[in-house]
Amino acid sequence: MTPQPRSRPRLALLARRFAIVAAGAAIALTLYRVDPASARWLPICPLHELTGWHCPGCGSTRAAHALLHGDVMQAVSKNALVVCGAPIALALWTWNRRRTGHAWTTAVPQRWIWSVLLVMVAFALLRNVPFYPFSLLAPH
Amino acid sequence: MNCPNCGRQNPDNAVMCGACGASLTNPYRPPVLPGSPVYIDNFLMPAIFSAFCCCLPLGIVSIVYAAQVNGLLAGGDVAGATKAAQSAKTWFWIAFGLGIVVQLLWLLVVFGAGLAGIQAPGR
Repeated sequence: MTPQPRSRPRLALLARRFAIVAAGAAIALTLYRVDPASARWLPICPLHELTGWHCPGCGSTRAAHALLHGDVMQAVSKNALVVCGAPIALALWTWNRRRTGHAWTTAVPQRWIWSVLLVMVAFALLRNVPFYPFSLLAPH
Repeated sequence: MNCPNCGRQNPDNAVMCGACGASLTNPYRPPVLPGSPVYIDNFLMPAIFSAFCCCLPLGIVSIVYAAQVNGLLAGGDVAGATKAAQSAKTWFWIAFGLGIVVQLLWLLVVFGAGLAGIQAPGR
């Protein structure tokens, strides 16, 4: 359990916010300019390199690239779970933070949490089934 | 509650121990009021993030710990929930750190091979 957030000096808080926004902008700009399908140096998935399987996160950099170019359908075809789940996760995180004052809590009923895990595992298994319609979930 | 001084069982609302007279109200540990919510940082969000972005197997270990926190808390096991949350946090950092190390090594391979004029290993 982490202690309640201390009140930071205003300037430090501003600097931290600026750093977060700047880092986010830099990542977004990189992902906009560089096509992850051909760039070698962007983050790789160790699991995919070693086994050839698609993990539930595979395709998310390509999905982000497509989203930044406004191509929602392409993004969903690369990684449907991340594209649909990330906004929900972000909203839930903000809501929780406001409500509880704890940055990293997820004060939702236990059943929700198991459901999220179930969806993740199901997505991971289904997208590795190598024929239609499951192949739609794979980031090819 | 039990007296912290002599261990004798006292009524929950007692202010002094009936046996030895020791104070049963500890100013440094205020009791959790019934109905007031206790929140523990369960690290579920970072755990899921680490499973997606960094290292799937270790991230899953983190998720499994994080997922237990709310259930333990609902059952009143604050100590167990705190311990599970701590494990979730530890495994998140292991997964995240290992993920970063792997990506840095990969960068090294790509740029090293580029400098040496060798074709980088294919994907």
